[in-house]
Amino acid sequence: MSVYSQEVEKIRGIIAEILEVEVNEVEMDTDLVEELEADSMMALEIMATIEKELNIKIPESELPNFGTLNEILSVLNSLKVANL
Amino acid sequence: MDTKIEITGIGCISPWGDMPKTFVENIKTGAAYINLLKDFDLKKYISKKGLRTLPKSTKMAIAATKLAIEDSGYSLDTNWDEERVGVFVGNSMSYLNNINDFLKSVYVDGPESVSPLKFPNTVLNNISGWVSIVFNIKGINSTVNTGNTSGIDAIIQAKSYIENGIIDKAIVVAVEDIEQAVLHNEAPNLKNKDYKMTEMAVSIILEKSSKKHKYGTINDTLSWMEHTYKEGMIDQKVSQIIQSTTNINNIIYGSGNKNDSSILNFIENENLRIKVENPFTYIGTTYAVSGLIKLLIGIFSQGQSLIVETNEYGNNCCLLVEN
Amino acid sequence: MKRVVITGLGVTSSIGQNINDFWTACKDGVSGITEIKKNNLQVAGPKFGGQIHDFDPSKYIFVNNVAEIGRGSQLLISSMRQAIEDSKLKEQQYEYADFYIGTTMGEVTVEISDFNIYQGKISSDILLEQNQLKNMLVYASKEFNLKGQSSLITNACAAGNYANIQAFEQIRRNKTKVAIAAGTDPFSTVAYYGFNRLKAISPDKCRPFDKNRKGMLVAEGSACVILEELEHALARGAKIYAEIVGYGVSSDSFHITSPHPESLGIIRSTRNALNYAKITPEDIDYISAHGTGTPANDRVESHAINSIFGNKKPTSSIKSMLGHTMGAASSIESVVSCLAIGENIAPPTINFETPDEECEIDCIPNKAREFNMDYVINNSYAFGGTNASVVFKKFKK
Repeated sequence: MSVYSQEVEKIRGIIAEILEVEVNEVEMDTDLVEELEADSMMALEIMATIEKELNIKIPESELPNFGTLNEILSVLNSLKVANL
Repeated sequence: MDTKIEITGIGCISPWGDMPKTFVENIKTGAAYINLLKDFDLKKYISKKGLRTLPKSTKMAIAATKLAIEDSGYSLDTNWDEERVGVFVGNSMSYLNNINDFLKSVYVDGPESVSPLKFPNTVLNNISGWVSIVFNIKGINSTVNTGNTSGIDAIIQAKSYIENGIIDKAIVVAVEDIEQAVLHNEAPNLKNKDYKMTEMAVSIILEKSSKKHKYGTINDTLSWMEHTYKEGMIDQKVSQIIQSTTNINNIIYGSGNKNDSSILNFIENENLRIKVENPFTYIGTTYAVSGLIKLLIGIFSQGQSLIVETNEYGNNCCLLVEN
Repeated sequence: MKRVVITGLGVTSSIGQNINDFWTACKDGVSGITEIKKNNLQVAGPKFGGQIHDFDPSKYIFVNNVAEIGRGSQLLISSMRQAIEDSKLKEQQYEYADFYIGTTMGEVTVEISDFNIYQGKISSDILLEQNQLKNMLVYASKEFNLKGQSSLITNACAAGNYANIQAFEQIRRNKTKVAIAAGTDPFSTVAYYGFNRLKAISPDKCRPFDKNRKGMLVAEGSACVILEELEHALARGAKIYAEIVGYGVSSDSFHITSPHPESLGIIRSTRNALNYAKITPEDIDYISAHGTGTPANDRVESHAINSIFGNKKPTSSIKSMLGHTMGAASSIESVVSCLAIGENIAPPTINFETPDEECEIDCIPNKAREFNMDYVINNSYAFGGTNASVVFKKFKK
C-alpha cells in the first residue's frame, strides 16, 4: 500500500500553504529547510496538518525526517504498512 | 519634572485607515457602534514569511509598527542600532480571543490534534515577541496589561528604560482586536444600544528629546492606584496637575467609567479656559489603545495636552504631551 | 542613585507554602511533582505537573471575597501577605509603594469560561468579568490598601524578573522608598495542552541538564519580594536579605518559542547584568538557572554559561523540584537567590543521573552545596525571546 497520488497532491498543497510558496515550488526532493526556509514551528504545523487531513498519527520521533516531500511520503508509507 | 522624551514616528491601523491625522479628524463623525478594520491584510504592509497564522492583533501591531518606523525615517538596514531599541506593548483583551481560538480547537479536535501553532498565540506577550522578531529589536521586548491604561503604562515603562540608559529608542504599541470572545465578554454592555467599541493599533517611536522632534514631547507621566472608587478623587489629582503645570491648553479624557463625568464636572465648575476632548464619546471602548488614541489627538492639537486615562478597577494615569 | 535591598520574602509553592518550609525542602531537594488532578482535563499525554494540592486561600485573604477571585490572584495575595509581614513594614510605609506583578498565563478562569461556552452552558459573563487579568492588580491593591504606581507585566516566563527590575529602578532613582515585586501563575490547562503539542513536556521528571532530559513540567506558584531603599531600611532596623546591584535585559529577535541556537540573546542579557553591576564573571559565585529541562533550553543555556563563566561555575535549576511555575518562576528563583546568599548554601538540581557533553556545567547535582556566596545571578528566558538577568549581592553596609 502506498500514499495515493491524490493524497500526495494534498500533502504538497499543505506544505505549500504553510511555507507560503507556490505548489510547483514543492518538488519531491526540494529541501524544505534550505530551499523553502521552513523553521521548526512550520515543520510541526506540517506534521500536525497532515495528521489531521489523513487521519493518521505520526510519532514525534519522525519530525527530523520531514526534510523533503519524498522523505515525508516514506514516513507515511511506513506508518501505513505498520498499521495494516 | 521627568526627562523629556520625544515622539519621532507614528503609525496606526484603524477602521478609518492608516493615516494618523485622518484618523483623528474622522473619528468625530462616521463612527458606527462596532468599528472593525476593513479588508486588513498584513501583506499590504510587510511581505515577510511565517506570519500567516498569527492572531489579528499581532498582525495589526506589526503593520502599525512598520508604518511608524517608516514615518520616523529610520531604516532597519542602515541606522537601526538593534541592541539599543526596545518594544513595549500595551494589550489587554486579545488573549481572550486567542485562548478561545485554541480551546475551541481542543474541544473539537481533541488536545492531541490542536495545531501547535495556536499555543504561542495564547501567551500574553506574543505581540511584543513577534514585533521584536519582525523588526530586529534586540534591546528589550515587554508587555503590560492594565486594561485601559495599558498603553500609557507601556509608555511609562519605555520612558523608564530610556532614562536608565538601557535603550535609546522605544517602540510603544497599543493594540486590541474585537472577535468572538471579546464580544462575549461585553455581552451585558452590548445590550445598551449606545455602547460603542473600536478595534485598532497605534505604534509610536520614542527617543530622548534632542529638540528636533517631529511630533512633540512627552513632558511628564503619573500613575497611581485607587482600588476603591471615591467620588472626586480623580478631580483632585487633575486639579493638582493643572495648578502645578504652566500652559495646559487641552484636556483629553474619557475611559467609559464613572471618572469621566467626575472630570467633566470638575472642568465645567472650575471654568477652565481649556479645550476638552473625549474620544470615548465618538468611538467607545478601545481598551489598551485608549491612551494612545488620546496621545494622537494631543499630537495634532495646539500646545500642551493633559491626557487622563483610567480603568474601572482603579489604575489611573496622566500624561503631558506637547507639540 | 539609591541602593536597593530586599527586606521581605514570601513564597507559595508545591514544596512549601511559607519561606521556612520552602527553603528546607529546597535544600533537601524535595520534588513537588505529582500526578495532575484537574477537572475537565483530558490527560491524553504526559501526566505529571507541579500543582499545589492543599492551598487554602482563606488563610491569606481577608479583604476580598475568596470565592470571587481567581486562583492566580489567590496565590499572589498569599505570597504578598507573607512578604509584607516578613518585612515588618507598617501600612503607612508601604501603602504608596510601587508594585509590579509578573505573570505568563494570567487568570485561568477564562479556561472554565470557554469550556462553559463550548458546552452551551449559561453565559459566564460574570466569571470572566471578575477574573480578567487586570483584576489581579486591584485584588492585590484592595487586600493591602496599595495606592502606588503599579502594573501587570506579562513577559511570560521572565515576568517575575521584569517586575523586580522595574521595582529596583524606581527605588534607585528615588521615585519611591518601598516597592513590591511578585510573580504568579496558576496551573494552566492551556499551557499544559500547548506545551504538549510543542512536544516539550517530560513524561515523568524534570531533569535539567541531564543527557536524557525530555522536557519541562507545567506547574503553579507565586513569590513576592519587598524591595526597599537602603537608608529607609536601616533607619527602621529592617532585616536585610540581600542587595540588588544590577540587571540585564535583551530580546532574541529570533523565534517565538525557540531560543537563539547560539545563545546570543541570553549571553547579552547576562553580560549586560554583569556590566550594570560593575562585576566580572569571576565575581559571580552561583547561577540560579532558567533550566527548564527541555533539550533546547538547557543546551543553549549551558553554552551561554560556558562562554561567559567557563564550565565550573556552580549552577542549579529549582525547576527540577517545582517544575515550571511560569511567571512565578523568576520570582521564586529570586527568593532562592536571597536565601542562598544568606546561608551560603546553593540548592541542587535534582533528578540528575547522566551528564550531557552538550551541557558541560557544574549543575550541583542532587545534593545542596555549601560555599561562600557574595554574588548570585538569577537568569530567566521566555517565549518571545525576552530575557532578563538580575544580580544579587550579599549585603555589606
